[in-house]
Order: sequence, then C-alpha cells, then structure tokens
Amino acid sequence: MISVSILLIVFGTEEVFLNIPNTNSFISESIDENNSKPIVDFLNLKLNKPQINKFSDNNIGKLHQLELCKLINLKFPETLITTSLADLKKFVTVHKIVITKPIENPFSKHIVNGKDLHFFTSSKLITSNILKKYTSDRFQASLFQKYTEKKFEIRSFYLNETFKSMAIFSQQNEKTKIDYRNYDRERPNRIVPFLLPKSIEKKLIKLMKLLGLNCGSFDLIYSVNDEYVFLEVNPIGQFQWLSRNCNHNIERLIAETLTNGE
Amino acid sequence: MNKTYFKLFANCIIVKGASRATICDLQRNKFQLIPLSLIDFFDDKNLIDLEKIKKQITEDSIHILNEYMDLLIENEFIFECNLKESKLFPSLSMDFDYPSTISNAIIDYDKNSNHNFQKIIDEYLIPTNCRHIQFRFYDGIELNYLNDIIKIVNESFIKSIEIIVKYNKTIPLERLKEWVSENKKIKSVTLHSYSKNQIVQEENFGFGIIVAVKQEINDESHCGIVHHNYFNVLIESFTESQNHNTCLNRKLSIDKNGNIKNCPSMSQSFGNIKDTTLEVALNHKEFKKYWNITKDQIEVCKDCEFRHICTDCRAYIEEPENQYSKPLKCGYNPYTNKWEEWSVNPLKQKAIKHYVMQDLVKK
Amino acid sequence: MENNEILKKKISEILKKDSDKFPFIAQLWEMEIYEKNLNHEKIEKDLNYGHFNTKSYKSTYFYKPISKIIDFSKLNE
Repeated sequence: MISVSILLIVFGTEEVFLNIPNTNSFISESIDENNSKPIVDFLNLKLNKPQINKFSDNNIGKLHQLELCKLINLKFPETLITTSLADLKKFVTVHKIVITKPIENPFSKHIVNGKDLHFFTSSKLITSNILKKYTSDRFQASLFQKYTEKKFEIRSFYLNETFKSMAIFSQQNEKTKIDYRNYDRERPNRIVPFLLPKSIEKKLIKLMKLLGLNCGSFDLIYSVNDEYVFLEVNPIGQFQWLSRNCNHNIERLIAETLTNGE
Repeated sequence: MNKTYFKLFANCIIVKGASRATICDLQRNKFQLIPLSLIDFFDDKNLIDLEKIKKQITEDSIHILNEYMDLLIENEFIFECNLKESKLFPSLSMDFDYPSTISNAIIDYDKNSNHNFQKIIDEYLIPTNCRHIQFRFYDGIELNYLNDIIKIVNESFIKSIEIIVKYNKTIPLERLKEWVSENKKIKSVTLHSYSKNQIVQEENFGFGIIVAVKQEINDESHCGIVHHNYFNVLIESFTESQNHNTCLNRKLSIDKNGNIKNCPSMSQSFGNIKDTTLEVALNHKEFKKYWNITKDQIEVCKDCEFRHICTDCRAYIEEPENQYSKPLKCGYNPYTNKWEEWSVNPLKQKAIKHYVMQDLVKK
Repeated sequence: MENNEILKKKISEILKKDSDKFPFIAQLWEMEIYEKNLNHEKIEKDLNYGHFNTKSYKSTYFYKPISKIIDFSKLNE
C-alpha cells in the first residue's frame, strides 16, 4: 500500500493541495522541526498559570501506572503480557478467571476496500471453552489480567487533590457486567455519588505526583472482598456523565481552577 | 459485623405528599407512587434494616413487606451493603447551578407584532447566555417569516428552539416537514387550530418533531396548564425546584407587544424592547421577585407528592392577591389523590373571571 | 450484504493465519462493515455554538418545558 502525504499550503485566500508521495518526507520533517516541534515543546512546559496537565501527558502508559502502584502499595489485578498461548494457559490455570484487555486504546477502525471496518469487543473473559478452540500458538503482545469479582466500580475525577467520585453498579446487568461500556440504554447502570476513603485518596494523590499529573480520571474496582483495586488513570478521561449523574458540578471546579477563582 | 442492609440509591428520592408519596428516579427519569407506610421502613440514613423490621411487624404483614421489597428491588431503587459501606454513599447534592443568567426565553407574536429578532438576540439573549427559546405565534404567518428567524438562530449560539404556530393552510405540510428537517435546532413545531390532533413528523433524537392540535391558542391566557405530561424527573429540574421557581427562575419573556416580562401572561412589564435595555429590565427591583418562590412555599402544592417534578405557574393562581396560592389550572387534589377538570371547579370561577378566561371554560 | 459477509470471512481468515501480527483478542473481535456514506458531508449541516464558532452536528434541548400552553387534556377529544 502506498501511503501519501498531503501538504496543505495556504496562499492568501486560496488553498492549494499538493499530493506528495512518501519520498518527499524530508519536507514534512523540516516543517515539523522548525514549526511544529517548538509549539509542541511549549505546550509541554509547566506554565506559570493554572493548567490541567501538559500536552504530553495524554500519552501516559497503562503499564507505567501499574509499576508505580507497586511502589505505593496500591492493589491492582495480577497482570500478564505475553505473545505465547502456553504462557496464557498457565496464567489461566493459576488465576481461574482471566480477562483480556487492550494495552492502550480500545477502539479499532480501519478502511478496507473503501469501506469502514469496525472491530468491537474491547475486553473479553477468557473461558476454558475459548482456550480450547484457540489454535494459534503465538500472537502479538497482549495484556491479560486476573478478573476481579466486584461489588461495584468506581470512577473518580481528580483535580489538584480534590476527588469527585461515583460508584457504578454494573453487576445487576449481564450486558454490562464485564465492561460497563457495553451500555444498556434501556436500563442504564445505577450511578451514584461515592466517597473514597481517605487512605485510598492518599495513595492516589501519591500516584498522581509520581506521574506528574494534576488531573485525571481513575477507574477502580470495589471487590467482593471489600478491597479497592486500581485499574488505570486516564489523564483525559471523560467527566461529563460523572458530573451530571452525581451533580458534582465538575465543570465549575475546572472553571474556577483555571481562572484562579476570579 | 457484616450485617446486610438495603440502602436507597442517592438518585432515587422520596417526596412525601399528604396521603401518598413518590420515589423520583432522577437517573431513569420516572417516578413511582408509594404508600406513606413504605417510607417508615427507611431510617434517617435511607437504610432498611430488614431483620429489625421483620421482628417488629405482625405475621400477617409479612407479605406486604415482601411486596414492598419486591417493588424496591425490581425498580433497582435499593442495593445491599453493610454498615461500613453505607457510609461511603453520600446523598445527592441538591445544588442547582446553570451557566446562564437567563436560561430560557419565550417570545410571543400576533399579527400586529413587529419584533426585531436580531436585536432581541444581540441585546437580550447573548449577553445572558440564553440558549433556548420558545416562539409562540397566535396568528398564522408565512414560512418566509419563520425562515428569516431561523437563519439568525442557525448562525448564533442558540442550542434549541420550539415553535408554536397557528396552522396556515398555504404552507403544505410536506414543505414544513422538509424545512424542519433542514433546520436542526428546531426541537419541536406545534401547529395549533388544526382540524385534528395528530403527529405530523416523528422526532429524530429528540429534535424535529411536528405535532398538530385542535386547540385554538389565540393568546397567552391558554398558558399555565398543569398536567402529568409536563412532569419532569431530572436532576436539573429537581434541584432547581428545591430553591427556585420551576417556571419563572431565570426566564425572560417578550410579549406580543414587545414588552419585557417574566412571562407574557403576567401583567407587570419592565419596559419594551424598543426603548429599554436588558440592564435596566434585569436590574429592576421586581424582575426577580418570583424567581425563588418554591413549591414548598405554595399552598396545597407543599402537600403534593408531585411538587418537585411539576412545573409551577405564578401567572394564573387561585387567589390572584395571594402570590403563594396554588396554580389555577391544576385540578389535582393531594388530599384525595384525585385529578379533576379545573375549569368547571366552582371555587375557581372567581379567579377565572379575574383573568378574563371565560372562553377557556369547558362547556 | 453478501459482499460484506465474504469480506468478513476473508478478514477472519487473515486474523487466524497471521495471528502473530494481531493481539490475542483479534480472533474474538466482532466485526461491522459500513459502506462509506459519500453523501454524509452534504446531508449533515454543522450547527454553530459558542463564541468561538465551535461547530457540532448535534444539539441538546432544554431540560424542562419552557411554557405550558398546550392543553394535553384536550388531546383525547
């Protein structure tokens, strides 16, 4: 497949499109170096005014977060990353119920023969049935975690050491039990305001400081063993539904933070 | 100690009336009628201690208890937790916050109106961040006139408009349907004075619905209806109802003569769009007079189980001299749980005459 | 559409054959194929919002009735 770079140059009020084949990538590189890079570098600075994270914080890796959890004694599910079916089988033998998740972004869209191709199923429970039928010995590095039986899930919006949390009861509904993003529009999961215990908040604040973030959305599980289990923190997590369903008024919190209360 | 309790979800709120109550499910936008006796099962932390209750009630009441529990569980109003966990679930904040000084506006037109809509939007709506407008046309108008308005709406920051307009047979319904579908900020069009009641076009994700009604809405005196179709079970309206008037709070209206009012049905005017600025009108000491009259302060309504999902009316009330009296057009009696036709109620005739509404009385 | 079913089958085969190029879950993926709607741009008209000319194709309506002038009790006549 030939990939084509399109360079857009604006002359006055005219727009001119140039189709440049890949061999001219040096043009886009030098534009990058002289124009885009300085701008991106600036966006990554910590400015002398209230801000919500830095531009580069959008790329904080999940695996890095789990490593840091070990440091601060924050529980997270046993995790395996492997390319081998044999490894996976051993893992399932030990942990019984295992779930596979994308390492980073769950959404997958491609273009095939001029049509839009979408892949669904971002997470899946690995049953012994699935393992039996799976014939490939190797696959691309994939993430597997021990499945945590939960009473409910917790989503918490964090900004400058303030937490606005909610509990999501997805267990009553078979459709949303594994991944609450399989929304049930007919009977949406119960979402209510929640208060994280101070001991957990302390650990999460430490984690955020280690990551250099002042804002993020936490995904946690409250397990059937009454434990708080960390899943991930998303620096650019959605907060609108959290704010609206719990009347947390996160919008005002953000506005006041950015304007220094003016 | 891991004893199990049942806790009411924070977004399921019990509103007590004189003879029964509602559980207002603010998340799923519905309400459930419940007997007052059910409320007694919850303690002040909204917890049900089933063990304790079973010990206190008589043998023959057990099946009633089971029925109540089934109702609560079936509707997902409650969940199981232990005492320690119950403390992690706070109640829902009842704060109302909205990012506009005026949240909604009504603009009335009759055949003599000549409002400068561009001026209205520039000088009254944009400065107050008002994004939602309802237009009411008492007389028939041409599609061109509506189109001039919609062009301004489309280019502005307005999010949604509703149109109530007299049916005009020179505008073919097919053309109207096309026009509404092209202009995506139109939430609804209601054609009044039509030959029958019908749905002309179904909604598309909450927008673009066209409905025709027989009702001849020839002036603002038709407003103020209280009906369960106007009930609203949402966090926004429920929290607003706690501290503000659910109709007049942050509302601005322009009546058919261009007068600036809280609502076109009220007599007090704060100026005219021809010569009164927004600042002068808004800062008039009586402009916000009704904004904070709540249902809890209004007679009869304060005892009604629907009071926080209902929308009030201060323009047409049972006792025009008593600003805390019940809406005139409400036929519900919370003491008997009966809905009756308001316009033939002998006790309301004096007020009906006062408002000169005799033509609205059902024969 | 038959074409799409054939396409899906083909893709399933590729996912199995070249399993080492795809994550574990690939063979469990549910697939949907959409025809590219070329008219999409023409049909959707952007809606204008905000003071910075932000555009969207979706809008939201007000959370409560703005007035109560339509008499629902008369609709059954």
